[in-house]
Amino acid sequence: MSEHNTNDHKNHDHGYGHYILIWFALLILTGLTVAVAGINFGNLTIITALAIASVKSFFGVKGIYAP
Amino acid sequence: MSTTSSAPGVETHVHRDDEGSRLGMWLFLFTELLLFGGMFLVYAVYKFTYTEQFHLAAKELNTLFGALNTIILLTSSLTMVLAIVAIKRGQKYLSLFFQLMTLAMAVGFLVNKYFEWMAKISHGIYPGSEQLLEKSNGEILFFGLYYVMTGLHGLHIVIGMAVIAYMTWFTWKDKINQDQYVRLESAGLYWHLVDIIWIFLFPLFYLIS
Repeated sequence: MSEHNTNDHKNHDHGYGHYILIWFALLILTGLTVAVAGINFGNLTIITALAIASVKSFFGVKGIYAP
Repeated sequence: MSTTSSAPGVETHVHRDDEGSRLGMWLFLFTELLLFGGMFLVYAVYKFTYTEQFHLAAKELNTLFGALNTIILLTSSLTMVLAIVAIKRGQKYLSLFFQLMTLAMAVGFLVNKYFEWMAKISHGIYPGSEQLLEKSNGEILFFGLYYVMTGLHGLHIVIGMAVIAYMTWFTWKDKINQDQYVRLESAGLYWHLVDIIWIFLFPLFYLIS
């Protein structure tokens, strides 16, 4: 076997707990989205919901892929 | 991706470029964003034009179903990434378990979606139905977009399931292992994209009433 394992990303290694924390935070943000939607902010409602969705995306992607 | 010896003592090198694979996957995901992005633009234009009617139509959707499916997808994204952590640590069976959990939750999502769509259809709300055509333009557009966008998203769930099932097979056969797991990572990336798209579909359709 001449295959050298230079493709590893050992510096990226997060444990199970790290991802469970992110999952938990995303669930809380989902709850927040539903709660905020219940309040009538008029046009701001959808903007708030989308803002939280963007935060969730950013947070999730960063949490998974950032070193 | 194994190496073979062409002659005793002579080893050939099989090219492998995990970074390239990852980059390719990210490029593909951007084309997916273009696909859905176009639809989100159509939604934005009609939401702006028919604000009141969109609100009225959204009342027909069940927030509980939508929220439940959001939780299911978020959790399936968690088990997907845990499957990758497990394989990196050489825990093959734990990884297989997490992959199967992901698949089970994908099935759960689709079952939910099936009941949700069936409830709408049984109430006579589906594209081209008499009952829908009697409604206002905004409501017709809302449900048209609802069926197309959640339908296309559902198709992505089905494709994602097929890809993950294939990866589960590879893991079982040790073709994905502690040393080579970029395919599982790419499948995971795809699954997270499908999740993120739902994160936006959910408030746009279920939470605007």
